[in-house]
Amino acid sequence: MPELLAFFQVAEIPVVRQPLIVAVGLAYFAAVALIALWAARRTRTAEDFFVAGRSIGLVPFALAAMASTLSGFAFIGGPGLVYAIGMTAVFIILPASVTNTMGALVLGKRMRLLGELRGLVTVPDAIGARYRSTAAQGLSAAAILVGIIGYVATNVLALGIVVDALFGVGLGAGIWIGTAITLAYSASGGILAGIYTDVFQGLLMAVASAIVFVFALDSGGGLAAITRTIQAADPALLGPWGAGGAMMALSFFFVFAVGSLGQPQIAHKYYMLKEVRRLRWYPVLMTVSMLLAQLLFVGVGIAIKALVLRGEVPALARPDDATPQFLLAQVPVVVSALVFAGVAAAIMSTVNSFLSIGAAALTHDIPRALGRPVADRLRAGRLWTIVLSIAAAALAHASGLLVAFLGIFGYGLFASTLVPALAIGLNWEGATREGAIASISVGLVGTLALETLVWLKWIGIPQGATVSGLMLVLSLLAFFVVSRLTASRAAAQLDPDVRLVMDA
Amino acid sequence: MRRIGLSLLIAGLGAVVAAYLLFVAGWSRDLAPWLIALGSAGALAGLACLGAARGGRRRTPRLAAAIALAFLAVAGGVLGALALPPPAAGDPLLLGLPRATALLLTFTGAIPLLLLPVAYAFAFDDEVLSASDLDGIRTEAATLRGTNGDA
Repeated sequence: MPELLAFFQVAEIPVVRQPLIVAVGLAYFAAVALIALWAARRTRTAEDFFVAGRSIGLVPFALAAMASTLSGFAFIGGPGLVYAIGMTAVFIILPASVTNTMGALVLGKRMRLLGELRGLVTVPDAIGARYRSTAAQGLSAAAILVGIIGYVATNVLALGIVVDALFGVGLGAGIWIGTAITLAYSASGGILAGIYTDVFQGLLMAVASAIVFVFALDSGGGLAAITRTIQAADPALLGPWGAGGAMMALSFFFVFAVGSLGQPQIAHKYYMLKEVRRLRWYPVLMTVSMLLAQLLFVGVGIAIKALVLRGEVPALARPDDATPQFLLAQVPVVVSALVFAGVAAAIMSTVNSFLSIGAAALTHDIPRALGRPVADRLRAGRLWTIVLSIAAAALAHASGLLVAFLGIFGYGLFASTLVPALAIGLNWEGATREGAIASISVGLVGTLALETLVWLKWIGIPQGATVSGLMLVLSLLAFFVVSRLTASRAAAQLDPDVRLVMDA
Repeated sequence: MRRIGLSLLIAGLGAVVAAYLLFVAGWSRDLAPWLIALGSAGALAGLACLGAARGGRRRTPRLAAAIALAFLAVAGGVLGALALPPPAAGDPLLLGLPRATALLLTFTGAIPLLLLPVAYAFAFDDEVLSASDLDGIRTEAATLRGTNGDA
């Protein structure tokens, strides 16, 4: 369905050039530059560059995790999807009720301890350590890299669209300006600069979202009035499953709940926490910040639907127009300015996280798997950050909206390749290296092949099932079946210190 | 706890696989949502149990209870919504939403959202990682490094 193009990013937003919006946009970029400059001066080692020197406190950790989890989709694509399919889209964010605590339980403690005891810096490092396998480490790094290229290119395109909408410089120039700003702090300060800009960006996103939510409810005359308007026109839209139906809603719930344990931008951050016992309040803080930042997702989607149905706002040309249309018509310009800065913040924080993870895969994991470790990892990390950003911007510039195809399967690819080997492997001593390699291979090849075939319309999947859901269960099956078949090797593949962490 | 977690995860996964098979093959599209609802709640509860499990004889009763309650609520919310008749114009509202939607969001969203993070925080010292557990792990890891002679 075409709405799913909006699933990950902004597709197109109207020009919003107004002096106050431009001024707030400029102030936002200046603030990011200042924070990045401060953080870049503290980046002296590869450990600073890739895991922020394992020095991050709880509040910045939770805010950074929230900011890098939410991309422009939370502000533009998401409300558009709520407008189009109602409650079905809410099942994308509903798993947040369990995923933050599950992340701490399943991954947080064990990854942070393993990182400390082994000096690990990347997610594939944890897979390599768990199975004593550079092959599993290299393969997982390759899978992460494939997902990242598409994800970053799509986000860079979205950033170009936002910069163009704010400053009217054209999409091409918007892509390169947005890339240059993100690259400047990503390459100079790595993830350390990223974390502190994420804190600012996360706060901005939460505040903007909460304010707009109040305006959204107010503009529709309150939640009950909004519901009555929508119910009269289309009772299914705000019914429990929305217009997409129960299977699609529940498929979203499964993929976004279980898949959350395979998202490298979150898993990687556990290494950065200053002290493992600070995880105690992480689920509470992360849940509160996610809740605030996602209010806009639901509020704007249903408010604009009611306003359109009442004829108070013209029908939208595309679902992605929901947020811009609402902002330009229903809220004071200063609030609109905050939200547009929030959209840029959401995109930039995601791009920075993925650039850091991609650079780490190229600098650390893949050379290690090939038996050629890099000597100066800080320099190589900066270099690969630059190469990745330029490649992503060039891809976005050259292919335009076609690149959205690459972004569509990023979440599912990470889920199917990392949930079995990482999330289950760190908690089940019966997992084997062969099982891990099989699940990563099935997830990587299967997702790429199936998404491409569906995209080309060579095969069809009934509306309600998703490629991400199918591939997640297939890779989990491969993991369990192959681990069972090679169970006799499991104990020998587990180092004593890794077992210590798994039993902690 | 680990065995329970693994059993729940595998059973849940089996139900999700069956749901996708039935749905994609078009054999029973009415049964598929029930299976994926049950399977998702079971698989998630299984993963949470695996994460909460600890080695040796250390028990995690408060976390186990919170996980059981939270995922029973999740399962109850989605299964309850599946059992209700399709939405219609003029359905009564609860908390400003159609009643079925409000109940679904309360059970699947609000209850686990409030319960799990708070239970995790309050059980942390006794059931997740106490200061003495952490010291013990660091000491044992240092001993292992010394025994193996590696860094």
